Amino acid sequence: MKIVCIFASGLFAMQYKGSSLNELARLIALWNDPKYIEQWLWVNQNDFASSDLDEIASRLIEDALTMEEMVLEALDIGLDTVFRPLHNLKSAQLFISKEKLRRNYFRLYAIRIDENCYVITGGAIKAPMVLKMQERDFLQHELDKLDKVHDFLKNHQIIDKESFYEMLEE
Amino acid sequence: MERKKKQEKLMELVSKTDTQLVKAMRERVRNKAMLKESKKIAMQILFKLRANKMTQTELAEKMKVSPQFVSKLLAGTENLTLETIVKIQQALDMPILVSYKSKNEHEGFSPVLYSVKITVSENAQISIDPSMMHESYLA
Repeated sequence: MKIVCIFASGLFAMQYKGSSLNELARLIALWNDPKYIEQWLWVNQNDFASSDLDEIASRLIEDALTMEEMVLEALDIGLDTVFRPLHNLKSAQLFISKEKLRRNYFRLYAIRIDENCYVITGGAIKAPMVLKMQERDFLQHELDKLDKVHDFLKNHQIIDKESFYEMLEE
Repeated sequence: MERKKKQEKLMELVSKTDTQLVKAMRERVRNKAMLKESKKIAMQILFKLRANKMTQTELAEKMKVSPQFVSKLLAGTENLTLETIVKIQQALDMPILVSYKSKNEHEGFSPVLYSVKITVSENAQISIDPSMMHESYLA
């Protein structure tokens, strides 16, 4: 796996072995693809309280585009303003913590390295009836990716931006 | 100073990597309103294809366009022309424009409204008088 810089202001994304795209590019391409959204909705429709698939689909389409807007805004105003700790009740840790950026059902998962410095590890659509990530295999997979990158950074003694940049230069 | 140099060096390296992604994102956000509609239409088509157990190739044949064109439609990135929207509506009998009427509403078939005289007596008996039955057609 390798780490790709998305934007000079401190946003990075993982690019896993076997994938031609980094995680942010891959997810944005997926979330913008109506065929993917329709297929996902067909498989996961029971995870929504409403059975109005047209309405849910419309919302997903709008939120996917808004998610991109949020990322772009965050690049200008600071990533710390949009990312939140992965677990809702947990307050942010001092270094390399697991975080998420959410817009309704959409999630981008990331490791926070330092102030306004994040590495996106993946992302998913989390339906409202799914309370814990462990309840669905594809969300558990995202948790595993978060753990893997977290451990990787920890093993390389990454504690802040400086040590992170040093590692990237190696 | 050393740290700043390192950061600058890193940014020189990374500036070449994925500036395309941010550029594409900015472009999509600029066209958000149009893309939203294009994707919603693509989604309506996909729902209809699934409901009718119809393939994209069959849709292409019905629309008299190439399968590649249908593929582009379903990507939800096309700025659709009125001509294309009308073709989709006709091929799938699916309203997209507000003016579209489904085949059931076309000439030769007019939904009928029946009106009858219903009386309710003091002891709550309901009686319907068929001789007072009227048919009226929706224009």
